[in-house]
Amino acid sequence: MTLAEDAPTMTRETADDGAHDDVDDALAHAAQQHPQDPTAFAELYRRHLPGVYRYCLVRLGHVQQAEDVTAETFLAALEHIRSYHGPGRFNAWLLGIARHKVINHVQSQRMSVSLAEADQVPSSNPSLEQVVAARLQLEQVARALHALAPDRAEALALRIFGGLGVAEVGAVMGKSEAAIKMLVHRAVSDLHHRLAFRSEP
Amino acid sequence: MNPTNEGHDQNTRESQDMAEELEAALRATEAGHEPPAPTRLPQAHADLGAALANLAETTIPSPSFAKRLQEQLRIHSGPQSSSQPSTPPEAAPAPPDAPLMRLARPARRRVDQHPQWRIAAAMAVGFLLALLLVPIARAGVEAALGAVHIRWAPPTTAPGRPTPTLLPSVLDLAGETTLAEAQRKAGFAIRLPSYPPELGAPQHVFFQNLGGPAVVLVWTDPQQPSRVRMSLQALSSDAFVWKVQPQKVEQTSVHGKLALWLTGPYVLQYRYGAQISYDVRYLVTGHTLVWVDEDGITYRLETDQPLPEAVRIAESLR
Repeated sequence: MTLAEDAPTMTRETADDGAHDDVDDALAHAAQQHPQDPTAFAELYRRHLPGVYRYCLVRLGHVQQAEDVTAETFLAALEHIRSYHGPGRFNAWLLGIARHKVINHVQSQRMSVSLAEADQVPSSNPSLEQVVAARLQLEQVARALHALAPDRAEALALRIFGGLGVAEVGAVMGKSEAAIKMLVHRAVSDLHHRLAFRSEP
Repeated sequence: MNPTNEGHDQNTRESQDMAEELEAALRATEAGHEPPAPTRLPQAHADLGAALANLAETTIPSPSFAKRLQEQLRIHSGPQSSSQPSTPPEAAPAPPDAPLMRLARPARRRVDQHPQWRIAAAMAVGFLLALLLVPIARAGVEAALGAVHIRWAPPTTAPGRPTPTLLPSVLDLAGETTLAEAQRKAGFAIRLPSYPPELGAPQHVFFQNLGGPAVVLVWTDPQQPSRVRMSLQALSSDAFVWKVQPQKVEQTSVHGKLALWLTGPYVLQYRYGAQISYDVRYLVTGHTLVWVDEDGITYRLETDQPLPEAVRIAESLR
């Protein structure tokens, strides 16, 4: 019998959540118990920086703004670490903060720069196949996302770029897992049409 | 049901099926697998989803930004913000891949409160999946070297059983004993590192029965006895430990033989029969070098030292 056959049956979702969240919870607990010791939160930061940054970048479409909002997110998380009660949802808690920060940023900026840039995407963009094959550029995707229904764009950004599972996205957005899957599906479908349309000469 | 409703229901079901297929494609891509061929979802949509997932994985913040923010967070943590307004060069923040944190030691939990403690049968020695050539952990991939087994997708909690708190330190293991007593029980020669020269004898020795005898040697910081400087676990071929979701696994060698270098933090836990034991597991915060010696003993060296130093320590065992 192989190790895999011998192992308890599990779903990917529970599998992904398990030990990863154990580690997050242990680190968050340490950060809560020892707020003057930066090491535990530094480790949480190291583990979650890529996901938060990707989410901010794909929602804002601008590197400098993404860095600013990422910084605001982690500083707020550090300040309010005691309000995390878990268990097993540190990533969702953190992305929830990032989501609010993005919304606040968008409202204050009114997305003037990014939307203007979005309208200036040249019509000679590569075809969809070329875009897929040649590694989509995140800022390009971000521009395309601005044209989608907000809930669809949000679900896609949290699920794919924030690195959350479907259940976690549902927790952040207050929707069922089925609804999140449908939103992501429709976001990808819309994105496909938008990118394909833009690829036309 | 009228035809209009039937048509609507059919469309809804089709949309749900496509949404499920897209989610399956995303999960496969994120796990590093080939996405399954869609049956209802347009292939172009599946491809776009996979491309987006790959794009996400390859997008990282700039190192300079990561370092700046890390320093900003350090300054905002605790009293440093008021007592250390400027950062001395020696206190510069660690890079993202620097040695990891140590947690405060909580009240000791005794594993021998669980007399049923036995571990499953021995597993075959030393097979390694070709996927380990890829230095990035992928969910669901398993590998083994000697008594150490690695799993990226962790087990679920036993039904109806709360998940106990992790033991934050190897010092919280039960079975502390003397080196002589451990040597008497182990049934194999306990070898000690002769490097670094000033290392000396371990400050703590634990003996455990993990399906087979296992010895854990711990060296602590002389200035801070609760801080583990290094630990060396020697596992007989009948022992079995289970590492869950290390961040990264790389191949290396000890005395010219295959060894693994694992980057933490990750959870180390043991196995009882077909069940994963949740009673004995702890958070590994440093890096680990795993190798098997010529006598079939598996060694796990946990250290915050870089790989070359870890190999040097491993090759100094006498």
